[in-house]
Amino acid sequence: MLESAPTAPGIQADRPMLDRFHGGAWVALHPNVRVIWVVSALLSAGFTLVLFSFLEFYFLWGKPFWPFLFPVGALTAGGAITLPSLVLVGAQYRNWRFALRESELLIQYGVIWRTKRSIPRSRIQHVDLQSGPVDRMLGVVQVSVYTAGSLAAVASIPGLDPGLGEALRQELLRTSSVVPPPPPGPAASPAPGADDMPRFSL
Amino acid sequence: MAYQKAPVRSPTDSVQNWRRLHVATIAIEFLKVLRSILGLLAIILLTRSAGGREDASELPFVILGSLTVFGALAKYLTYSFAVSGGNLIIRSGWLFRQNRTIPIDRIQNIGLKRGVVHRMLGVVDLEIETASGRGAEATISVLGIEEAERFRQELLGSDHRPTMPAPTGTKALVPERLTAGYSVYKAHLGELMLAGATSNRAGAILAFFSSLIVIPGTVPELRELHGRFLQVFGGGSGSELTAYVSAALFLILGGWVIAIVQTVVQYYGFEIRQGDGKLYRKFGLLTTIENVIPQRRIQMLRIRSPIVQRWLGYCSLDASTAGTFAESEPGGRQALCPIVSIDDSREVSRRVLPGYDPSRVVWTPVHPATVFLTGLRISIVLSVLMGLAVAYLSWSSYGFAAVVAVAFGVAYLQYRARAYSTSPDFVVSRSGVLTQDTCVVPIKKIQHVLLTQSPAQRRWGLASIRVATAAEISGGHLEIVDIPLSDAEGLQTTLTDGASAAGAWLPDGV
Repeated sequence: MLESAPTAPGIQADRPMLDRFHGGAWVALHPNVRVIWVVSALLSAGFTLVLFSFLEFYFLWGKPFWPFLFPVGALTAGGAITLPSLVLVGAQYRNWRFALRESELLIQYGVIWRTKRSIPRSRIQHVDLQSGPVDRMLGVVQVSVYTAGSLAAVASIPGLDPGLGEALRQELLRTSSVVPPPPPGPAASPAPGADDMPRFSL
Repeated sequence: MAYQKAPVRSPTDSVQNWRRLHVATIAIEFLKVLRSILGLLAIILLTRSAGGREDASELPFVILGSLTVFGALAKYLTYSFAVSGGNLIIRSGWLFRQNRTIPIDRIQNIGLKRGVVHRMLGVVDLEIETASGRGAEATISVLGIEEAERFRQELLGSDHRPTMPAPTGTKALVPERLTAGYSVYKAHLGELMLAGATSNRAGAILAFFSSLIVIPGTVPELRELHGRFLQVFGGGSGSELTAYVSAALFLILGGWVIAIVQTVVQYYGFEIRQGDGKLYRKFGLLTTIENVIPQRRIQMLRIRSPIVQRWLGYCSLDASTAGTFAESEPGGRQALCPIVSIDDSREVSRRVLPGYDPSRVVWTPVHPATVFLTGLRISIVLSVLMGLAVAYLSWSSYGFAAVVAVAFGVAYLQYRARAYSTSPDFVVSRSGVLTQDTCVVPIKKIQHVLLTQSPAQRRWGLASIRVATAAEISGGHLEIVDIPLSDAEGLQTTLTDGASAAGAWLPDGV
């Protein structure tokens, strides 16, 4: 059964790990995902700092005490944007969970605004396994689930152990009774005649 | 390793009987491109008159014009199509060539579309639809009427479609399918005028134009324009008030007439027939559209009723489909009835969604706390706007109390309007004060269900539900706002289980 689903290159499905979560128990994310969130919060802080520096040069240049006002303004702006997300990383991690039920994939997250999403397993069109450079450094992958008529992923589970992610992907595809797509790889130019294929999703 | 080119035999190599488009393609294509670059032309004209430079001013026109003519010619010369080996093969393009093969037995239907120019030249667009659920698979533009009809019969009546009726002659533009089945709905001219007159669109047009009047008064650069406006509408009296009142009246009437004319032109002769699990639509005064909606492709039915229509006992119906055919209606929302009496709408809904019975819907109201939550939301938005008005236009700040009162009044009306209902097969929601919206989603069409809780909702133990279908991009989703959390969670589970039990989703399936 599982052997029929193709495996992403370099990742072995950790079936026993997934089986432990069967029966619909809530599963937490990989602890390293907190590092990813911290890194992205710091990146956005850096971006804000740069943006604000330009703005301040434009507006503060030549004003009294401007060399002192400059860092204060930039740091305040950067901090105002970054601090909340840094503070909430712990709570966000505790609140992020998913469950694989018999007929649905359940995903719950959010600290201030809370969201619980349920996707019938029969409606899943395809499942992506993604990992960026930071993900790979920290040894996690991201699983994205798509349904018909959705342009972006309906649900993305960030930060999963690669083995668990791959096992989850195979499990979701196995039960969705939709022909699984080829494994994710470098984007190839579309095959000749690809345009003639019937397209099912918008 | 040396790369060896494999001998490729394209399926088109053996095709002999290539067909060409009608010569009028050149004219139609030229006009199509011209229409799309109209904005660009306007910009060039404006900059030319502003710049005042006479030299080289003709150059952009020459370039654009020759590109347009060349493009139109190229399309006519390079576009060809043929039927071979059970496939429809379409070859097009000169720099970028394209070969498209459509298996004839996959062709679901062939629509004919004509604009005004098409009619003057006696030609039609042939829109070929497959089950891909993604708009017209191919548009052959343009063919002569008789040739198009003959080709349509050839495709639909070939051995690959043994169920299709025999050709009924080449003269008739109206194919037999539009006389087959039975008529579900027909719009009369008077009703269409009523639809235009009562659609809240007139308000939008009015708002747009009134912004054009008010803004010039406050922007110094446009003072002169404003002065001219006062002259025209003030009737020489020079009074600003007279000018504004008469201009407003003029715009209301104007916007109203525009809305009426728009609706009549768009939906003239609207008719839906039903047969064989499909809805056949035909409408339009200038651009006539004939198309087919397989009923199973309908993801959501929406009944809209603007306030005036509701008083008069009317509403309109549209359906969100996963794949749309008519390019004139982007986004997959297809009008089913531009206007229909509320009594008749029940019958139409029953026929469009088999198994759905509007008269048996038992509404569950949302939680009363929605008055407070919605009132708060509206107050915040209005207060921000009010704050801006106070800061920049030096309006009086006494209005805040009134703003809050209005917000909570609206919130109460919204609470009254909101309700939902579920049955084993359908989930229905109702909302809206000015325009009442009723959405019906077959549970087997659900793609996923979202439950959200804002901080304020958590305080009251409430939640909102969003039910998404495959037509979500074009607004094919249903929302139930502010119901108790336990109800929302129960609803989420019920809907998900129901969708799951229906099995895999296909555009025409389930």
